[in-house]
Amino acid sequence: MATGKHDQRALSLHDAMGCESLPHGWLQLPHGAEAMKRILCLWIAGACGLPADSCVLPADSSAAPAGDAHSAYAKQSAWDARQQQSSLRSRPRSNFQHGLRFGVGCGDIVPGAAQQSAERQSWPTTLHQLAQLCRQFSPTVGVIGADAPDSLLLDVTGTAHLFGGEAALAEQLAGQIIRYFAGDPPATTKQPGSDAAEVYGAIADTPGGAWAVAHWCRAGCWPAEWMCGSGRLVIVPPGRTPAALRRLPIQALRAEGETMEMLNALAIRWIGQLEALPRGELAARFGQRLLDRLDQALGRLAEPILPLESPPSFAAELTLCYPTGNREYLEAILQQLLCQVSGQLREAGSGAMQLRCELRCGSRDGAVVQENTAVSENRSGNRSSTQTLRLELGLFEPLCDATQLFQLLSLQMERLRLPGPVSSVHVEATITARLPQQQPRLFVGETAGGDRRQLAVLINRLCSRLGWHCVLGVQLQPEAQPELAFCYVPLIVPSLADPKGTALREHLPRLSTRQQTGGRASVLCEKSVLCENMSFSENISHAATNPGRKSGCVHIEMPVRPLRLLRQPVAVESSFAPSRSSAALCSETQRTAEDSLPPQFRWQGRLYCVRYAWGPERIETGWWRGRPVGRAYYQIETITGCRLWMFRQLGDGRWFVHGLFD
Amino acid sequence: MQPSAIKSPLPGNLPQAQNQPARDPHLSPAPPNNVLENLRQRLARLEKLYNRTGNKIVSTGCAALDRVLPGGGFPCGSLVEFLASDDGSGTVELALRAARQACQDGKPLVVIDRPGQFYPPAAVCIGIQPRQLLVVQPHSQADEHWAIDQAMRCPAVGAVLAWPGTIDQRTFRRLQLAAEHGGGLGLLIRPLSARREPSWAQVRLVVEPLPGGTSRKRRLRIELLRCRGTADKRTLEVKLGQEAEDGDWQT
Repeated sequence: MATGKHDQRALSLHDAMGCESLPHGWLQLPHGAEAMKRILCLWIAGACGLPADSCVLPADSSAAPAGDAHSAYAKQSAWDARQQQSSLRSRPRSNFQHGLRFGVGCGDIVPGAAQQSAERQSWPTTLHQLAQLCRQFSPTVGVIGADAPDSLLLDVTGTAHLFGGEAALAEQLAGQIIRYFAGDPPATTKQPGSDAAEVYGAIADTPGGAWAVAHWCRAGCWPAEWMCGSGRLVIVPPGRTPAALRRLPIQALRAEGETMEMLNALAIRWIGQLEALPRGELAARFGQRLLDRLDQALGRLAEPILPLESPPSFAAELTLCYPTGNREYLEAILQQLLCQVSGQLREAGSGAMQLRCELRCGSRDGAVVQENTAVSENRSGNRSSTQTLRLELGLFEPLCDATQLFQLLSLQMERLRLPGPVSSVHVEATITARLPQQQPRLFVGETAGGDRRQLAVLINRLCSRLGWHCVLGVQLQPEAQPELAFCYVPLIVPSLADPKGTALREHLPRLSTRQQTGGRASVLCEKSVLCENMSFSENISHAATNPGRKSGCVHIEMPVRPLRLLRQPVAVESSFAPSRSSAALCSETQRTAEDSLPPQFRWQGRLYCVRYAWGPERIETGWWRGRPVGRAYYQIETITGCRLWMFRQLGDGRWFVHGLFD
Repeated sequence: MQPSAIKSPLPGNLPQAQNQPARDPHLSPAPPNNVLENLRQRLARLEKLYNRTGNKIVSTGCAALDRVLPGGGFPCGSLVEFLASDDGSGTVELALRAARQACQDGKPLVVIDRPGQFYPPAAVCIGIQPRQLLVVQPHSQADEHWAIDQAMRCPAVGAVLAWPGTIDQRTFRRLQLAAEHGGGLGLLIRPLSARREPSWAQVRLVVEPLPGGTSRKRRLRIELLRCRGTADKRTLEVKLGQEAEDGDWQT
């Protein structure tokens, strides 16, 4: 096996660069290497695992392996330290500056990044989307293992020629990935290899080898003819994978931390060094796992690609040969499609949380032009000859019953004005959730789940007809300013495509500031709503399980508040001329409400005579919001017994009516 | 009403038929007071009483009012109409006290708030948990009536509070049927101008505020305009306190 001399030769990087002077020992690939698979590995740098600049060889690495172990160790430890630092520091930068919109693991490490996590989707979702993107290049798309979730592996054996060779395939793929991360429409794509996203790729014979080369793609030790895609892609020619691996550090084997430490302690830095060691001792000292990794990378042991399943889509579509505007037909079609979708949902054990139904309508003259933009109802009817009417259905609880879904959709259908005959109908469950386990019922009409289920049905119905912004739960807020002391939370997932959603502020005047700020209100809403939704239903069910608790006993201590609060305080015209009725009460009024309470005032064209007032309750708050509020509130009773909630503005002493004790 | 016509030949009336000859002789010499009393009893029997559907009766949240009502409260599965004499009259507070009782087992209170001026913290003050509140803000009257109907029809809802301005008879009847179906308490706040309109509500109350003393407790005059099961119109004065209510009633 490997002798000392052999070892020296094998580790010489200059020899390895030549690729011709490879030792012909056990390092050589077994017979049938030309039949070896070709694997493409894509590494999305900085997205999930290692930082983008971590996998760069030391500048003078070529001298390191064969040179003295001491200097190599010093360099290595310096490199390790840099890696640790950069893994903490450079991650957010590489994530956000380079246009990686969706990120992940870094949110846990970097405090600032956590704030942005609301607008980002989870890494697994992104990975699935990327895998979907990659499926056009290869039928097998997956990951190599749980320890390397930032890389996608494609089996491109026998598919490269379809795209004009491996280099062309890799560049096309990299371009698509970069476009995905840039998030731009295809018209404004950047050239592959630009700085939009840090994507590195490699094609090698083995998954492990491709992973290693992709991660050390910028190591600067590859022959120029292997490189393409402006230095981001390395294509290792068939059969050269062991040679390529030999010049990489042992980190490229994805070994465990303990093993790495041990290897470090023994000054074994390079795969070539490791390879030169006797196999038996290697396994005994470092465990079989390391040896397996080595064998897998070199192609002596099979390494599976764990395929990423495409996320299931629950959709059904029907294209009509003869477009129709007949509602009965359309409803029948809708029922049929909903049955299909609900069947798919039931099979997967999940229910729809949001359902989208798209009706593509042609114009009256019958010309149907393919246009994918969704045009809202009643708008631009004469501009385009095709409109896509979109019905969005949000649901309080996951639902997969076709009849109920149809009832909810028909609530919207009946208000819809069709601009023309419908040429195709598409139904899709856009958001799904796991369906709670339910005992099937023997008799039709017997509803399972009791109150909670029925409440969900009610909320679904209300939301479906009135819109999600009209059906609200209540959350008290720790705010002194009365109009901010609570916020309404929508009970279902607001639909992002809902045109009414843009008018969020008008519909929900007292929506919490958390949801109002920023242009991405809807995204934030979705998050918060889901939590609120859950807590609301949990609360309801919790309360239902404890019926013995009397709500009267649980009395929340709160200051006196009116049941009707005007949206805006209304200034009143106060008249200080003592009228006959209020003159007698003046003294009493003054006693309780300082000296400035008007004995009578005019509001909405009516004259109110103050009989008594309780107060003041001073509220001075909101300076940090930029709209300081200083008010002295009084509960005022008029001589007829009506009670109003008024305040005196502390700055200018004006009087406002703010509420009514209805 | 229609149900009474159906139920009149039922066994409930048989003893009455036997009593008829016994009562007849002293009907003519009896003083008119007695005649009226007899007629009242017969009317009550014909109307098949207050709680026709046999639902649970919930307290109104006001002891004095409970004493006046035949079952000791509002029957679930029915509509209660509050006619508010003025803004700031305390009517909604009275209604919410009944809603609190109806929602005691954790059922939600649906508030159909078309003007968007309902202030939930005040409801919390009265004793309704924020998590029980479900506020619906429809934009049109048709939507409002539909939402009331839907909410009333849902058996999971404890009570529905709404401010329907004008309701036509068909809609009103539909709401009443929905309440019977769902079994919740429908609390409708309407202006006093609706006093002359026919109503399908089980109980109609006119609420007027009275100027109180220096106490924060409100004084209200409640006029029992209509109540199935009792034929007499009563007016009572109640005092709404924060914790317990004390009130005296007068006919």
